[in-house]
Amino acid sequence: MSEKLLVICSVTENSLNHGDKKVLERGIKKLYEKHIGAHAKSVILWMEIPTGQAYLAGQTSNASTILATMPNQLPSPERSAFLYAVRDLWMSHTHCQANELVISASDQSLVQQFLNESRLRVTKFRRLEIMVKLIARVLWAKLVRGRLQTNINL
Amino acid sequence: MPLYTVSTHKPLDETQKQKIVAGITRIHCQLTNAPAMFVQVVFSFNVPLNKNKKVHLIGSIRSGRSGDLKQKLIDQFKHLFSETLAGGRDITHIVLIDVPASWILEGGEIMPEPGEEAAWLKRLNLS
Repeated sequence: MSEKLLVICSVTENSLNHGDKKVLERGIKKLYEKHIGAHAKSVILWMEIPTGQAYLAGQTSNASTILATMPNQLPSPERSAFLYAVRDLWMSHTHCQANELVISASDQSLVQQFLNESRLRVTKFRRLEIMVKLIARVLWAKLVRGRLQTNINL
Repeated sequence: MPLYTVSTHKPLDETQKQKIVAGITRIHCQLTNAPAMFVQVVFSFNVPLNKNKKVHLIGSIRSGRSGDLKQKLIDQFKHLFSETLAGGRDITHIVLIDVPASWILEGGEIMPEPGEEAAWLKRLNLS
């Protein structure tokens, strides 16, 4: 049975162009198939962060953060191999420094916890409205840009 | 890692952001002895938060921190936001999520367990 595993790539606005994102998307999808299995289908969501809203070590930062969902209880060797493969892909394509990239290969259950906490921060009276707005934004990006994309600001 | 996501309804000004970033970085490093170079803070604005809350903070931190330490982090973060945004301690909702170190790659390598940073930093020529 195929699984849809969410990958959230958080990047500073305009730090990567359309071509970069296409190459990285294709690369990440191939790495899922190689390291997790042909049944593991990934869905890539780009999360753009406006300049001045991301900091590392107290300074404004252009670091990219990738949250990659793994099947629960994936053995450590497969997880590590995946992490290093994504690192190599990302660094070779973007030429970023090692300290400008954070990758997390987290179990589905942990990603679900993170997404749930993000949802619960919104007042319950506006959760549905915000959810509809987010879905519309992501689908609009797919239609116009050919990729799933949103912004860290709601 | 850690990655702290600060959500507010209204965008914060530069002074507020700087105070919060400096405060989170200082508190995290003082309490955990982790190096500042990996403390990430991102801001998410226009978030309609729950009633009476001005700030929501999700901190993804490495697993292995004690409950006592996590409570100290929460207490000091609440104090920081209370001071910076001129409100009571209850204006902030804080959630800490434990992430196993072996699930994270940073600085080009898989993260060490808490307390094992020195050897790891030395290996990366970052100490």
